[in-house]
Amino acid sequence: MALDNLLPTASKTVQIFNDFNRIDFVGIAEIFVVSWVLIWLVKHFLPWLGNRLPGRLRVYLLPSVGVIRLLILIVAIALIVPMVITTSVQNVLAVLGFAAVALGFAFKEYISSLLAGIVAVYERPYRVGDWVSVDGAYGEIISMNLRALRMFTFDDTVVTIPHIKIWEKNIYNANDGKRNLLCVANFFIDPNHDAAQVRQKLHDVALTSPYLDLNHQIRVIVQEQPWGTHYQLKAYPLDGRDQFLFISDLTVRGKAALAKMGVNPAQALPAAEAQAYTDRT
Amino acid sequence: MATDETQNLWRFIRLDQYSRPPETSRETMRKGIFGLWRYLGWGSKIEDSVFAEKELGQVPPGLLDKVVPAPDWSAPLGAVTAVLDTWLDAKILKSSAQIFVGPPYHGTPEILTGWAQARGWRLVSAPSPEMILTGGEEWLAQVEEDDESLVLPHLEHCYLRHYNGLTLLRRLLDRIFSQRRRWLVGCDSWAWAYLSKALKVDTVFPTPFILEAFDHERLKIWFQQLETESGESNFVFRQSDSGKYVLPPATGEEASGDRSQVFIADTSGFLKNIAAYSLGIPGIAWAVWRRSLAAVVTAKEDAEESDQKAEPVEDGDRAYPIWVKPWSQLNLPEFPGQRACLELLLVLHTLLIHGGLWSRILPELVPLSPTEIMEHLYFLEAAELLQSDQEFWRVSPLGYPPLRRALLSEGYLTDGLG
Repeated sequence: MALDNLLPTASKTVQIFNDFNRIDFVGIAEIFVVSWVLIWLVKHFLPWLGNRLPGRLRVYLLPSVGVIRLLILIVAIALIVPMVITTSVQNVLAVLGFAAVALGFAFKEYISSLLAGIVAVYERPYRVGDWVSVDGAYGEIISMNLRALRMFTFDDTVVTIPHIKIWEKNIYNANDGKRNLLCVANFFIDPNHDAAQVRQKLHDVALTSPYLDLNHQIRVIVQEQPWGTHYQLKAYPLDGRDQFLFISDLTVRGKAALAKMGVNPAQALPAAEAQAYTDRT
Repeated sequence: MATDETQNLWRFIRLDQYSRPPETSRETMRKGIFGLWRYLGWGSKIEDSVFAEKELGQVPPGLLDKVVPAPDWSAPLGAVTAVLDTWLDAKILKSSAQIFVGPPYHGTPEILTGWAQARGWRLVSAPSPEMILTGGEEWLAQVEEDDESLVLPHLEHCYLRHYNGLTLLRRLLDRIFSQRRRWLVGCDSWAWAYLSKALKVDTVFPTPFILEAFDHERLKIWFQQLETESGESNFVFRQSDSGKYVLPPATGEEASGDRSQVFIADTSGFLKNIAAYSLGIPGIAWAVWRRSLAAVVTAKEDAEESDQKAEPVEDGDRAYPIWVKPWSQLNLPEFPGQRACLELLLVLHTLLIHGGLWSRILPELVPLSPTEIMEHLYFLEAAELLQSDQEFWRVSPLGYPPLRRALLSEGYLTDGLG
């Protein structure tokens, strides 16, 4: 008799879930379909709208996509769970415990990425519209799904990066929700030149760029190296999406300006220096 | 019209006191809903406006020039002298230069030119773009002698947004503030905003003067003056849908013998819409007023047939009604939002901060080929947003408000005038 009390009976086990005949499968399907439709709409319509609105509104609209999708999912789960299990403390604990053991082993990495995705929505190390560098890939985040984010690089490649990377790697965010970000154009010049004139000329090159955001300061950093002089022209474009056009414009016009001044480029960099520079950039 | 009324019409104020006429709430709502619709690419196509323009050209050009002749920019000269009185009479100058700023079609260059001619001050014409890019030493030589007072109406044409295009302006500013003579300088407001950011010119010049914005009351007086100046002032402007007066005939003691006192019925808010749309800029309001009159006009025969509807007048005069299309039905240019691209905006912004440019110099200032630039220019000209005169391109008066809105919404540097 004591042994009987220790073993769960069939009737006790079934009480965790509602009676099969009383589960509203139609209602569950409706919630599922509506949630799927809403998530699909948010995932496609908001970015479409954001790309058509003026740039200043875009940076506010795009980061909200991940948050809204998560909210829809939470509401859907909260509506479905009471339809399937009898909501009592013991039942919920039992189900969660079972799920944790089963899923934890089978989907450890997936669950970890899911949790990292939820943390990313809350902590915002990145958001849709940000330009980030993760694990060697640099591009604009175009969507944040539950498990991974999708990034569009400047050579038209879509990179999918699991959120789990935020536990393991550094995330370099170039604009952090803002519309513009710092761009740097590099010039390597033969040491025989008037540095003050070159610095002023490069400053004017940036000052007269049509892509320039005049609300941020322009800086020209000069560093003398054994092989020549390294100039870093740092400025902000109006829109982060124009960063490559901006850097190209600075580089093309900077080279033309320096050539007119009779300034020569640096001789070939030593191999070690060139590799170190490439690794940094 | 009385001198007092003319003087009150034209008034210069400090730039930091400037505010433009507000939009009516009804127009704000209408523009917001339909503006978003058009921006998302669901508006009318450019070709529709071409056909509409042909249909609306019903007022004979000769009549239109009589009813709304070209503005007389000599009227505000007294207002210029009024604000410069103290500076002109001072023995010791705090600043050798005074500056007047104005948006496109504000009339500032024309006013300063007229003032210089009236006062006998030497006018300095702007250098060519080629001179600017080469430093402009030969152009600067004309201002080396520190003797007579000078007027430079177009400071915006003395620089180019190019790494070699700022040198001449920097040297010019050195001369202006190192010489003892008086300088009167005019500058486009967009160029002023750019140069304030780029060269900090707002810290070397005193606070600029600007013509006070034209609200609907000022516009009423001005449009009535224009009509009177033509010598034929027997027109009454009424809105075609409601019959309300858009521009009531002049009344009061100062009315000429040919103008009779007419009862004042309800007045429509049309002029408020013009004032708001034109951002208080008289030249743009003038263009919009001419466009609105292109809708419908009753022929003389029609007026004779409807004598019983004519307003009661004295001495047997008859006021011919001119019907004005309602504001919501006016065919004004719109910025093609969905077809806009980065390059288009770059070209537009470049034209605005320079107060217009020759097409041959644009390739030096924007990273586009000459062919691409011309494509954009012709596209915008077809949309009535730009106009050209012997390859000198500038924003059209009707195109200025929508272009300004578009650049502002995309975060480009604007002139900050509301």
